[in-house]
Amino acid sequence: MEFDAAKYLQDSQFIIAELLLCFFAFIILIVSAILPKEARRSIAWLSLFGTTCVVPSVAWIAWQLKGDAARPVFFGDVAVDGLAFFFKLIFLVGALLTILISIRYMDIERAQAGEYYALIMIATASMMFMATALSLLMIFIALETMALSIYILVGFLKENRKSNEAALKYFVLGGFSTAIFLYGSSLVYGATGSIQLSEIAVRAVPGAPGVEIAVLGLILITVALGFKVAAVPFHMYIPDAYEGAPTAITAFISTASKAAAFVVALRVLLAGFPGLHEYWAPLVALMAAASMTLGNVAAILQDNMKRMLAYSSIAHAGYTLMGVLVAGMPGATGQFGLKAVAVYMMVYTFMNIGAFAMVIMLRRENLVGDQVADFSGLARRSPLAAFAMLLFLLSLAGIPPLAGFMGKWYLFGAAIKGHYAWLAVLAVVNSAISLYYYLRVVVCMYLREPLTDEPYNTSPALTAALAIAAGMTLLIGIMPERFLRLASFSYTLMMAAAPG
Amino acid sequence: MFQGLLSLICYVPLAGALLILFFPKDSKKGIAYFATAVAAIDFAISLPLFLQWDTSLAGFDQRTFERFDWIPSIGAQYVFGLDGISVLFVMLTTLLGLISVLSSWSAITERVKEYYIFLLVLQTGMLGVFMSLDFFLFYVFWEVMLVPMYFLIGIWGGANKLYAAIKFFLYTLFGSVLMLLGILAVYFYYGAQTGVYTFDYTQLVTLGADPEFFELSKWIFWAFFIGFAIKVPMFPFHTWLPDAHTEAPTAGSVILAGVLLKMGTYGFVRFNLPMLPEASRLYAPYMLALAVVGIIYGALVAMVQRDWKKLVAYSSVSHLGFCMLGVFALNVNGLNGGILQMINHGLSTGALFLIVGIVYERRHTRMISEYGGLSKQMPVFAAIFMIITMSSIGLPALNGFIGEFTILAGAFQIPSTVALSFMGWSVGGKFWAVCGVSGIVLGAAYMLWLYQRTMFGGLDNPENLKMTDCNTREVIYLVPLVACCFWIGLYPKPFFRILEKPVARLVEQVGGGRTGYAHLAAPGPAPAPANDPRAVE
Repeated sequence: MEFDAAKYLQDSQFIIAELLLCFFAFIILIVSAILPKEARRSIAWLSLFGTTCVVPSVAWIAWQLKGDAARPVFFGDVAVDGLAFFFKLIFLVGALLTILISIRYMDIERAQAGEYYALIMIATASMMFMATALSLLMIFIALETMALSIYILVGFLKENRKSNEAALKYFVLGGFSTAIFLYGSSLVYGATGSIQLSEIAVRAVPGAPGVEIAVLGLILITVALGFKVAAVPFHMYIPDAYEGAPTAITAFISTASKAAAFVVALRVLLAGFPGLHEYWAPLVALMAAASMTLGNVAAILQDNMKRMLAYSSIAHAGYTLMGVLVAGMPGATGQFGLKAVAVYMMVYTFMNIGAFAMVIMLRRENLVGDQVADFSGLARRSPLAAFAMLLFLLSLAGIPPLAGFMGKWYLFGAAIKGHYAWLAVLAVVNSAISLYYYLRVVVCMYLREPLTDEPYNTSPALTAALAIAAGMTLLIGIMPERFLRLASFSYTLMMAAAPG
Repeated sequence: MFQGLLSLICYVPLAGALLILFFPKDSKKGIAYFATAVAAIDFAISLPLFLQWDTSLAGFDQRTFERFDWIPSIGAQYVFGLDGISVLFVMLTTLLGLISVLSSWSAITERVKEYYIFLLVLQTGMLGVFMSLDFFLFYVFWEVMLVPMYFLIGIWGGANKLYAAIKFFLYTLFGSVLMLLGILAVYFYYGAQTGVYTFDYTQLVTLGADPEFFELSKWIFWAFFIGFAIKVPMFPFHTWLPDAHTEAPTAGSVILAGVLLKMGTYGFVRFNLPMLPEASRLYAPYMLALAVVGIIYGALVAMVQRDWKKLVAYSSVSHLGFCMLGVFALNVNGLNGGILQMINHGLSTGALFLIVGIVYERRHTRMISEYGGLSKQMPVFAAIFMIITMSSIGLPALNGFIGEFTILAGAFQIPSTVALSFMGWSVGGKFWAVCGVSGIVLGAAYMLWLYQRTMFGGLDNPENLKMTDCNTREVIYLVPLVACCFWIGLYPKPFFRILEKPVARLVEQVGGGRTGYAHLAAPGPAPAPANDPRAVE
């Protein structure tokens, strides 16, 4: 293949969002080296500005796509399609909200640093590459870049033992899962002779020579992705990692990074192994069932808010896996499943970051504020904040008319439409169970006396993040039409595009 | 004429709740007066619906219909509309809403602002349930209503309020999420069948005539059953009810017993019967069995209660069993009586909870043994309580009698083929009605015994000497209920006229024939051939 500079340049317009993010990340690194220590706070605003600048570029790609079929660029390694577009939006929302809730938190932790924001942006850029990657190698590189940034972010509170422990656990198990992914990829390559998903899709079909090896590779890849989306039984590190990480980063990895793992799972399973659906479907179904059941039951026992949300996030991964499962089915059913995953991930980003933002709001100099009991009497002291938290919790539990209900509606609908009635029944029963532990927080907020009378102090950025998250949770719940149309973009998934 | 009226009725309480947000926290009286005014307006604007109802309509009144696209992506619409059945429930809700607000003036002294907000939001939710003709919208209202009710029990409830509130919420949510699966199954089946994905009730209900739908509808019946039966509550799903009713504040109990429970029975009438007619006929014996078990079990348990409020709560289990008996008789009399009895129960049990609330406010205990001889101390109260007791046990000239009589008339028409077979024994037919009658006897026993223990005898407890009779406000909110009891008892015709056509259509939808069991009728003499000379033109 001949090197064609013009084509490269032309293709580069489709990764302009990623390029911009990296560009701003490097600017921030340079600026933070120059700025005096006291002024580091302003870097946060710079990163906010940079990330906001990326939004129009993502929208521009969507506009380019309008009426046009999805297309592969960079020799078929990078996808330009609706699925990538919608997930890029999710990552941006996640990154923006994370930066907003980070500012005050990092002040209190006395860990304000330029690298922190730069790493968030680099992680976001790698997530975007994950969403567009069409070859196993691209996926691997993007996945690793994101993972490395996040290992550092999780351990960012250098003085904090829990943060260190979390980073180490995350790193060891993350490295482990990467190795498994790589091993699976090599098996698939050996069996099919290609790392391009579109070619794998053609060769990894039942009855093809060497397909047994490909199936083995597929299983390993699925396991590795199970690690990344925090599905049972690959969830062991999650509670510790979530508890120890800086709360803002917990919010980030439980939403954006999970969404990235899901989009990779969709890509690999749908674009790479559509022919082997019968092999991976039971695996995914079992993971879904186990995740939601174990996640919810374990969450009941937690007294620490971050651990509770960690287990709840495992459960939510389980619900979302139902969507992945159904997305692999042909025709309209598959599209419905795909849309369900996309909708749920976006909705989950808003409500879950909102819940973590509340945990951050309770964080004060002398109080960690991450116990469920710390929410006691919140309704008396700060009715608006308590109401926002009520919205997030009820939305997580899937009570209408909130965003979480729309998301669950799609996922349950996908399970019914895909004739996985047993999974749907399990999911709704779990969804009822989950209400129990979400209500525990509500009980604290509304029915218990405040522990102290110390007033809450919040920051404008944190308030803005809470308002956006709460507003969207309500808006998507009551007037979901526009949002659902946007999510319909994710239908245009490039299946078997030939390398360009 | 009624254009937009339903939305107005539905959202006036919500708007009122939002306005209360702007009230200062300390103006407790102001908030109470304002909430009362809102509820009164809501009741007043709903009155024309009842007064000017067109009784010749079997279906939904076009004048009340409101239809907008809501979420076109999934085919969910905003559809409000009433038929003769739901209009009665709307009236019941607005009436009890007003009364429950009135009853809270002196009972609620803490966190007054939040209390009235929750009460009014709850009313919007309940009205929405009875008005929605879109399954998605229905579900949204059905769930929304749980949240304010949870807070009403959890914040202003009795000693064991947290347990009761969570039990109520979880239990109901468990039922409703399974119902959601049923809704999804209907939605996708209809979509696959016709290519139109919609939640529109008026379209989905046509599935009732689709013979291929039968296999799936058996599953959907049970999915709906769980959702509705927990709400009703039918035995054995009733265990949340005694806790919730007992711990809730008076207004909460009134709303719970008066309106919330009716949503379950309304659900059966609105969805199970016309949409899943074959499954409804198939499973009717089981439903009837659970209904009569509920009647007798509820009555027996009520009899041994020492707690006044718990006794009333268990009596609800028994009375709702009656409603279900009537509904699953699947004939005109049964359904007429069942639906009317739902209204009756709302009136009389609502009043009973108010009565408990009145003495509780004065003595702060619900133990029956603490009371005795109150009739000397509180004559007006005793008179009202007597009337309501009689209404509850079904004394002629009062509403309970009309309802129960009609239900039993329907139950006696159940053919003997509607039976449960167990180890060679078969129970059914008249058996259901006989059980129902025994329930009435038991009902009279526990209610009269309650009356005797609390109202008659000596004023032995010195604490009771301090009890004062009903004040004007209390009389004002009890009198309308008493008046309605007499009205339905003496002249039920307006109610039956409103119900006549819709119920006739319902019976037709659910199986045709006067008994509703035409398909099960024993093969009798073959119908006369058309050319038979004996056939009369």
